[in-house]
Amino acid sequence: MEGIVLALLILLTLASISITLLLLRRASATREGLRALTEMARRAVDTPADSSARMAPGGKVEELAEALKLWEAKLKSITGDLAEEREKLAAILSTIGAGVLLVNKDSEVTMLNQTAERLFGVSGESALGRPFISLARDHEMDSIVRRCLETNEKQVGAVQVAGSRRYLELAATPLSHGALVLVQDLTNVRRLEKMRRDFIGNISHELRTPIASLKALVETLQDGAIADKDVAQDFLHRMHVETDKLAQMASELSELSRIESGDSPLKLKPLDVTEVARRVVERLRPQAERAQLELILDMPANLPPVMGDEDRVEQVLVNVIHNAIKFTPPKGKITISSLVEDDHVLISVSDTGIGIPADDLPRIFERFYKVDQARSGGGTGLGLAIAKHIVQAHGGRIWAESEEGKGTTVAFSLPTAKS
Amino acid sequence: MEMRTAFHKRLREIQNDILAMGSMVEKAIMRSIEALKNRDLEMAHRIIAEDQKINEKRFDIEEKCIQLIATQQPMASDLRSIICILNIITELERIGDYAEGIAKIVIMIGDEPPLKPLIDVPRMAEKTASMLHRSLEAFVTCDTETARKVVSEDNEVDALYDQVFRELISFMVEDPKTITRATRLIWVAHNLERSADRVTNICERVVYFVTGKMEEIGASKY
Repeated sequence: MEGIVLALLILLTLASISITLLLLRRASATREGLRALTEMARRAVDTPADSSARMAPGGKVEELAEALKLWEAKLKSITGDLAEEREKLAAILSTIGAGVLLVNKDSEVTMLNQTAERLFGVSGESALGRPFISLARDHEMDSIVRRCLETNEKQVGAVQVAGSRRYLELAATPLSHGALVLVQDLTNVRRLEKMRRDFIGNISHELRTPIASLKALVETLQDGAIADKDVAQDFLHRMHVETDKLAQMASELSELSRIESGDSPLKLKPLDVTEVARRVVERLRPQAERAQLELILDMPANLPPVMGDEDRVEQVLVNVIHNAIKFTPPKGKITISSLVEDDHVLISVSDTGIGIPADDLPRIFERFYKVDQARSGGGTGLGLAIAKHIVQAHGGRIWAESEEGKGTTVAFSLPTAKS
Repeated sequence: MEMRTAFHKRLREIQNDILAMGSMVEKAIMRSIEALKNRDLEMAHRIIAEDQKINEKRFDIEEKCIQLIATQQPMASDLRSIICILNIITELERIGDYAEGIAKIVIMIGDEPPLKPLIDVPRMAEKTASMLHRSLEAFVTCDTETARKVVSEDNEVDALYDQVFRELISFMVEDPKTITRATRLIWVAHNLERSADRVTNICERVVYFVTGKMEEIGASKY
């Protein structure tokens, strides 16, 4: 583009010079014309006519040539500025997190940035000139762009992409020859919003249950039950259990926020994780037996030591195994096994329980998340969330695999201690 | 020359309309299963209302095609493309009706307790929607290879249908109280199976439009 402008300019320059020369040779009367041309060239570069410093000594033709040279220099700098601006714009467009597209009046794509290519799964070359709908393949998005082109007014809307869980927000702004379309991926924002809503819903549910029973117990005592010593004793005991539950939830919540914020640093040291697991299994065995479950520890004694905080790792194992006990029907099995993988030790807890639907699987590590909202299982709903944060603080990973009706495996990794 | 350009511009507009209609149908299928999973009656009613828009879109495209034939008198492959479009919109409209049918079943089920967790039925829906998506891609890009591949995938939908069918029959055999609920789920699966079959019809049309040869690609089990 700049090349063509320059070439044209030079041609123009040459043409005007030669015409001027021709005129000069023909008649001196054309001097007036020459002066006018010089003036014109000067005006184009804002050089005042009386600037004697730029006056060529020879005569008017040299003067004109001088003015034209300035003109050329000015144009060069303008095209240079333009190229620079274009480069800046390209850099902005390629780094911006939102998808940016330009469409013409017929809703055909004339420009798109990398994010837009990624969001619509196309590559720039093949997308150009194609109608917007053939990229987006979504009639709701297409109608946002069309409405903008038809009404010449800005249009905004959020759309769930056909056949996926993704949410995109489109903002189409009218331009003189089409529209600018801004596309933002709202999938994560939507997920976080839902998590927050669920969290508040869950925590109020968890608080309401013990508070409701406390209230009922107190009211019954007030209504006269306090006079019956045996009943009063029993009620006080039950109130104690409920307050314990509330206290436990409060302390687990504050512990969770401490781990999350990194306020309670880990006391890391090389750890025999098989030994920790053995201790936990012994501690939970009575509980498992009451639920008629078999607890199997299938971990070798010679595992490489992991780098961990002993109390915390123990807590992860307690929480995960405890969870498995809760959701496995009688006569089931819970197996704790291990695997060494590169510089990590993987520990997995597999049960023969009810399993978790695929949709819920990634969410079970959220605070208070419950697969089946109706059944409570009797915990605070924070166990797996705490386990997740502890494992992550160790630089490990925790995840779950499950098949409904067959069972669930929760596995986590811990880094081995460097010898 | 001018005539041709005008014709192709209008044809392209109609292709865009088909992509929009395809997206409406694709979303109707996925949302009908979402509604089934979540017992979302409100969404079911919305799907039924929106099927009206799918039908209108079909007539709108049909009208445009007739006008194009009347005013431009297309020949050879141009004529074939319009005939192909007329067939595709019929199939799309029908698939829209199947999605609407699923929405009606959702309303019938109401808030009855679920018989079993839905696993294979959503899989069928996802597969069908994906086949539909790619069949229209094949149409606008004249890609017979993709069209043939999509047809071959119908087997997977048929296999899932078999599986759902067998599983639900076993429920009914074990406990006659489940017969109503199981039968309704079989209807849902049947609607999806039919939808996938309609997608293979679209693919056959795409092959005809590109090659000029009418052929049946791969016989469906159902």
